[in-house]
Amino acid sequence: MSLTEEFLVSKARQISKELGEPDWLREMRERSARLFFKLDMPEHARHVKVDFESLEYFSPAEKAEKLEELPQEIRETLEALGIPEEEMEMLAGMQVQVDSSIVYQTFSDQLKSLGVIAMPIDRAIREHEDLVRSYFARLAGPEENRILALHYALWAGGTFIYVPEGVEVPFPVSALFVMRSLPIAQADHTIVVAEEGAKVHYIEGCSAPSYIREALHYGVTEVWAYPGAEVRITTMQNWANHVINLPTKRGVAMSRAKIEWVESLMGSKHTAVRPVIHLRGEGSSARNVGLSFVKGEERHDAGVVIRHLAPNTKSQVISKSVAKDRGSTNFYGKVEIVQGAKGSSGFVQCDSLLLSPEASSETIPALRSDEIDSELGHEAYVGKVAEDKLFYLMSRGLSEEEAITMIVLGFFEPVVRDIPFEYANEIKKLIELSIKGM
Amino acid sequence: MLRLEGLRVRVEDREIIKGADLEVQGGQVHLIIGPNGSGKSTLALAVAGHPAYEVVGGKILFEGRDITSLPPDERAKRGIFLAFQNPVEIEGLKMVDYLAKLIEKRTGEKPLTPLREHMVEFVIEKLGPYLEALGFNEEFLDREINVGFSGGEKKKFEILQMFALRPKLAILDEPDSGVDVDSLNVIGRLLYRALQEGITLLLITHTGGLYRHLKVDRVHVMYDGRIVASGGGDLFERIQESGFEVVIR
Repeated sequence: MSLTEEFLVSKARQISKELGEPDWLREMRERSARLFFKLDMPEHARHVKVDFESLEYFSPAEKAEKLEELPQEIRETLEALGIPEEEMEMLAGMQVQVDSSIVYQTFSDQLKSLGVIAMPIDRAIREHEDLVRSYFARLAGPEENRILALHYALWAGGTFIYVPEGVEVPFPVSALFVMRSLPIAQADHTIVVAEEGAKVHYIEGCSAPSYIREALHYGVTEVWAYPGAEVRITTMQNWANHVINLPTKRGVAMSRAKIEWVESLMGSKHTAVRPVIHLRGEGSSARNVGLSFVKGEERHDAGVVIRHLAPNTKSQVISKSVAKDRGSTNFYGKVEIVQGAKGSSGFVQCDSLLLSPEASSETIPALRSDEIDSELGHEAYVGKVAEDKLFYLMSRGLSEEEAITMIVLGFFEPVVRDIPFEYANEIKKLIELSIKGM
Repeated sequence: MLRLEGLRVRVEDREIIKGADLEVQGGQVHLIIGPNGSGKSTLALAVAGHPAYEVVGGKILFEGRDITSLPPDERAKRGIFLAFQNPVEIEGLKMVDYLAKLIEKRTGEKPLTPLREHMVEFVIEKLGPYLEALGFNEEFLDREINVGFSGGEKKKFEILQMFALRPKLAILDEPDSGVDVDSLNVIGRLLYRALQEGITLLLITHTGGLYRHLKVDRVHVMYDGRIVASGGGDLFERIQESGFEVVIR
């Protein structure tokens, strides 16, 4: 197969038709398909090699009414993300996407009565078209780069969450994304909108079982936090080591709103991600907390861009990464305070731990303030596991592996404490497994 | 139980232990005393197997077996425990998780689930009386290993780990330094209890603070990398009175 404009445009039309989309979406898909050939890779992912021609872009999966009806392999993958089936039933709203389709969804009546919308985005387009349309592609557009162009041409699946004014969603809303068919390119599109004073916690888990060969994940997440709203997003990613992961994440916080992004990233051949959060309203704040673990030849180029556009805005970025074998983990932390954003402050902390001499880590801070009455801070640390710590634990009878695992888990603790228990426990297990056989 | 034969230990490029001979019998309390820099801590770390403390001559025998080239975790499994003079901080590692792991290592038993409440329950079930005797409450179990501990808390936490592991031989490197009188008495009482529970004690100390709590069987004086004198409890008293000159010459 060769990836021609003609092919891409017809693929975009085919997807739009299969999903029964309105014209504006079909037109956006077609326009984006053409843009793909004119645009470059995103700046932070210039060096990522993607074999676009070998990927399968739309792969619908069978829907299921009950969790038990899902194929065994999918259920196992879900378990591996840290949620046993009985827990899934208890979640307020949740959905499972396999490849390009949402295959399972639940949505509690309690949420419905609160006026909350939490559903697959294709369904939301059918049932709440104007609402979705007013938020779709507003924070990240197809004209920005070729990954976004491809996304808006071929996206399928994802979640739409809308929380009305003053409503606090009592349980996390969650979505799980699994890649099964190979070689798949998964492009989910998620929008979270919290109206004034609303509160919501959205948890997304992404996984690909290890037998996947080449795969691409290029989802988009757009987050809107209106005045006084609090949005928390927890992203758990556990990718097989042939997945290229190029997600786009954008958020905007109005006055006194809070956006908190907690991200755990394990595996993937190459991840390049640069979430952008705009603190648009006075007194708004952002907290971006991430942990990353690479092994083998894996590479993570993570980072964050936070722009302080209003007075008294606050941001905090914490990145903790561990590299094993020849793994490479890099973090680019850009925080900007514009002139007039008086009384604002931003702080970036990046710590890395290297478990082997061939592992590498780099931190690139880019802090800039055009406002005198503001504060920016940065702390970075790259270190090895100290011999004295290792000896202390080994002298208590722990093996070298067990001791390193404990030190690594301790290192990640400031991030893991922000992650719900079941997920955190699964991360711990994954780290234990990854350290085994050193 | 422990026998050092002509032990020579090098740290970086310096030989610190220059042929030490020592024998500690099971069920006894032995003291190693000596001026600063005589090699006492080096001896303790070498017996525990610190990789930076290279044995360049002689042997370490434990229960008749040569353990000189064993890694530290193997020595611990055979029943050697070292209470550090300066325990390291391990950020993010919670006491409760760590203690549960040590207990699991020894007994093979595990908490019901990794939920905090089950972990705490498990640790209290196994170590309750010791936690209480050392003055550690449940809140303490949420703290990170040695992070922000006072001098006394660090020393007491070392003692707690000893009871979690129940070694055959506990080497305690200055468990009495930098602690207040109350903590010292607590540590003394618990060392007496350890002895009653069958743990052989090898104490490195400067002061007589713990001496009062324990009936010391044997005192060894270390000077310039060698054990220069050994004797009964009276040796300690003589040195307390007249200084190390009594035995060094």
